[in-house]
Amino acid sequence: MSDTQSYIHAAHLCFSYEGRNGEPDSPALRDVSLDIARGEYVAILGHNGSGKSTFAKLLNLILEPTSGELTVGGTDLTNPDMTEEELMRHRRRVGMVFQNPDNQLVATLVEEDVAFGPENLGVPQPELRRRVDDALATVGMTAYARQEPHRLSGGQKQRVAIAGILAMMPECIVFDESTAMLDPAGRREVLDTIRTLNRERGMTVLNITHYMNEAAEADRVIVINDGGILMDGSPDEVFSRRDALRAVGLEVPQCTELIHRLRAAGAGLEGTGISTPAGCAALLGRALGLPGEQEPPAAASAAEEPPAGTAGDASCPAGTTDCADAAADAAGEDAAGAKLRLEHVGFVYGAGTPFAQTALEDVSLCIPAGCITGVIGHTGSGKSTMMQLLNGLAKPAGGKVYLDGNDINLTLREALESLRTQPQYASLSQRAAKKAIRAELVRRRRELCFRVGLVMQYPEYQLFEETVYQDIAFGPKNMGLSPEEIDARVRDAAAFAGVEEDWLQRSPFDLSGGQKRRVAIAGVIAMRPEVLVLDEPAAGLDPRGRTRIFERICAYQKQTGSAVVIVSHSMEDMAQYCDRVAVLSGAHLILRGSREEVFSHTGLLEQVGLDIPQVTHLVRLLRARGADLPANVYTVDRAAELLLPRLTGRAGQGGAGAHSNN
Amino acid sequence: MKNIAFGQYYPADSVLHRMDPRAKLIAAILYIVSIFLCSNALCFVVLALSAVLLVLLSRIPLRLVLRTLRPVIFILAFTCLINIFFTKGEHLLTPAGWRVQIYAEGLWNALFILLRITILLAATGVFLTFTTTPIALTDALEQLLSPLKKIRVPVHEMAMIVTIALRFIPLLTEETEKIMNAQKARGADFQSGGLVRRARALLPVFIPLLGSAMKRADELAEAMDCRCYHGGNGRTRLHVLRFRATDVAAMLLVTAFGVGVFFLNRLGIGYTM
Repeated sequence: MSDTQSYIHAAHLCFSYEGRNGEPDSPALRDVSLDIARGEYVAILGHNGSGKSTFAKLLNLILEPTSGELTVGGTDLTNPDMTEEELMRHRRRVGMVFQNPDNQLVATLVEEDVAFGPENLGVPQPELRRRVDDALATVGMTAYARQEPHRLSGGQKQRVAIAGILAMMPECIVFDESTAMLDPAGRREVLDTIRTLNRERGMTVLNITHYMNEAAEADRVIVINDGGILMDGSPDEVFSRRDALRAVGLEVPQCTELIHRLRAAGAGLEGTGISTPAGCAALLGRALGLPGEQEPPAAASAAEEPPAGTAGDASCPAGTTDCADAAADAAGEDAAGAKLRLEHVGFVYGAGTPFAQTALEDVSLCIPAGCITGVIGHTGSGKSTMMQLLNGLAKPAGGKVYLDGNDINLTLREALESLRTQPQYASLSQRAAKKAIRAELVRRRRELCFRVGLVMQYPEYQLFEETVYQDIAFGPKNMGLSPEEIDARVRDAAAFAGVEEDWLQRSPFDLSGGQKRRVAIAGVIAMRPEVLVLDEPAAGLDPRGRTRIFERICAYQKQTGSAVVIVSHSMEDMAQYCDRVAVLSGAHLILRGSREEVFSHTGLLEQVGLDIPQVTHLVRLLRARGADLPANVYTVDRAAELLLPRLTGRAGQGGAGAHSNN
Repeated sequence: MKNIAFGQYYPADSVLHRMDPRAKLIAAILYIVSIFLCSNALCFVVLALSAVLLVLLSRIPLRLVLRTLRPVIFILAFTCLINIFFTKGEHLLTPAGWRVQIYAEGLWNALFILLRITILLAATGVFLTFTTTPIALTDALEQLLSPLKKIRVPVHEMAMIVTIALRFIPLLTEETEKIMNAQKARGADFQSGGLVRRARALLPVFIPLLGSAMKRADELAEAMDCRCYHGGNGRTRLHVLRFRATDVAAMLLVTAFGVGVFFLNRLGIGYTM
């Protein structure tokens, strides 16, 4: 029945979820046929709702196929007479690692969690102990065996989850978007673990993802769209079909995109290896006639790169002219023109307890009106704390936060001193003035959250009203506006955030994840804040969703001219959408300035654990081989612009060179 | 919030911390029984001394142990006052003819009750909550109650529920804080207004929290399925609790103490309740 060579065999596989009225919904998977060999490393790509997670759940019989054949390791999964024992035996062999690291750890100690699977299987001591120790050693978490899971980082938790699967001695592991909620460092940890398992243990690996850079690491990429297989091949083969991928909401990696553009512009560049920076660098190197391949430089040596003040032509996008002045302000003392300003701000969690933890120390930053400021840093760098300082949710332990030049955390005593002399209080008695000033402070504090709108991480989880309309109206209603004004604002905000008219009367819980997020953003925009602060606005979205959210934010900023702050750990997004960038690491602000300045320090950025844009990495590889390129190239556009004249001059030659070199 | 340990567990390295949680549970029950056997002054002296010894052994700061009295302080004071003013006896302390009559017996009774409750709370703290993690306590209960499985009491399932609850409490606390902040950022006001208004103001926190808890439960169930969870049958344990010589010795000691108190009590030395 099944091909003896293949480990996973699916033929005409279909699956439909049960709809609301008991009738089957439109199929989530239709007519899927594929074979995966033992020991393969396969990436399964697709946008949210494409059916890729459904496929994963079929492999483990969390869901049962509606029709078609499905065999895994010789076990027929469509057999209706499968016993409980057979099911367990199967699940032991095919392990699953899920998206949210918090929701798959059961026990309150790391080692007990790793033991959970084998305990269920009835593995006796001392075998059990040995398995737990081995699994923890494989993922490099031995030192954390007696820790509580909630104290670990996302990447560490995910590694514990992998260890929990490994302890069951599986043949195959399915990763269901296991890196989607992690920061770049955590993602790296998990991907390295996956690769080790595949290469050194011969484990069959299925990585379901929408990150193209991750898919490039696999041996084989399968693209699923609308429940069916769209493409199946090596990363190179799949990524060479850029337009078809884009049509289904996926983006190719930056370096692949660059090669595509150069090719389209007539630069030649025949050859393979377009899915990774190293491959692209080899290809471009040959075309540029650079000397032979060299080892890519380590991050540390790259730290010596000259800060490129040489980036003369770099400038803020149109409409942000005051940014340049503000850049100087942030560095200097004079801060006129800054919308929001942090001055030597610090913050400590659990101050005065043995658990005290410094989240921010001596951070000074200027956020100008009229442009987008990016704050970048990995998890635990203090960036989320900084967000809460901006709208008064948290009060700094030291230093001041100014909005339009006014200290937002004025104490009553300070206010008495500074406001007493103002005309409206001068005529009042001491007591009356005190009362009036106190009322003024309360009013200001309340106003602050409307003036500085904060969109928190995963904001879709804060929706609660019966309809989308009411949820967006929650903020304006709290502001005490008239019904007409509220209505106007809700509709405006909905349009800005991309919330469609006909969603307004629906329940927010009926929408998809990306749609909910837009509703949540609309809810903050509806307060018409002077400063809009967004914490990881695109986290967990697929490429199409990401682009949509960022384009909406940019359009909003252009139309309203307000200040926007985006917090993220994605360098590529920062490079594309932000005018100014501040970099936080270990509670300190280590870099700030225009994005040109900041991205010229790629070595430093990598040192603190941030991922530099892939195209920047590619350019660095070329520079290491002697290419005459500036260091601060961080967008595909810029790279293409620089490389094209160099390539077209010698296109024919380069193409020939590529063949002879092979 | 992340770094605050859940429950009252006070990490330290003491004889009591190292004891098997089941032994501690049994010892605590025996000790509490002996507290209630006590009814004369000599007994209470011995009991108080033993309690002090226990606190010293556990290396828990006395201040922390006494803090457990805080929630019951009013009831305690009330009971003592009732005893002082309403116990009739033979030794009237107040001058004859006063409307308020206080007898020596009343004072003794009040003192005994005070001691009893203080020692009771200190002992549960020292044997259990301060020196045993909630999870070890759950394990101990599961194993001690496991004979009840024969009469179909779902002991394992109940223990699993407690374990999962313990695992998710820090997560949900953190999440509550996040949602509250998110709604505050939209101008929600949790502080002002009367009781009804405040309760209503919490709706924007509870609804998302409930939704997320449901989602977590779903995902956790799936993850547990994937890891072959099928109830307690045929499960092995990574950490098997084993009675050691010290555990047995400790239980014998407490039993001996209880018997000692029982006989001491019959001697009736000092005021007897």
